[in-house]
Amino acid sequence: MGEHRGPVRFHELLRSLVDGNVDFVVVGGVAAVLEGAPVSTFDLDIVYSLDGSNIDGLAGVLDELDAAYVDPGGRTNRPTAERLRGGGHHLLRTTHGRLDVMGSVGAGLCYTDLLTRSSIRTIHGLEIAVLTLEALIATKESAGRPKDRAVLDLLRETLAQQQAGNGEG
Amino acid sequence: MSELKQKNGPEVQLTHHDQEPDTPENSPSLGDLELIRWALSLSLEERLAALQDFVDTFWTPRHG
Repeated sequence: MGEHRGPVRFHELLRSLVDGNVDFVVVGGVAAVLEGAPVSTFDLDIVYSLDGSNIDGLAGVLDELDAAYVDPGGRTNRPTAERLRGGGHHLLRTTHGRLDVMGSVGAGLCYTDLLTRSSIRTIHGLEIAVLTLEALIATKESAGRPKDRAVLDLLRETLAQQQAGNGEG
Repeated sequence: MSELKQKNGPEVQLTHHDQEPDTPENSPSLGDLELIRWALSLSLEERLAALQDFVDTFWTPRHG
């Protein structure tokens, strides 16, 4: 229990969240990839709605996924509804690999803020809110971390190419 | 993050932005442009599959 150590399965995680009727926005590297940026990531990052019923739904899905906090010390701590209600960042291991669920990103942008900066994308029949490239760039600019700055040029050029209509399939 | 390397993608030289400061001199190269245009040409499902291929190829336990 809680000792899952394997590569992330993006589609399986997304399906679990959608099937559980969780309100969330995909952010981070997976959002960048879905928006057409050639970057890589080894986890799925989402921002979830802090609405009470959504918290309960998310907690249920995480329970089904046998989620536990990443803990180098090997302790097993579970993401309960009470913990999720506090927002913050919850870095988890699940049966389908690494999943980071967050109450907000950047300068305190929460689900409702991000939803207006997202596009609804249909992937294998799943309707998923994905943060736009413009919003991704803005959040990484405000975060100002070295790892964010490192990818900004690529995101900006992807946006420029997207707006120019180059390569859009 | 490093750029996505996809087994069936174009022949491009991967660069390492992680190790470079964010300056105009480090704006995307021709290889980056080719990679971006290739990624943009994919469907959403293909983009996710390409990322999954990358993860399946390069994941190690240190990635969690």
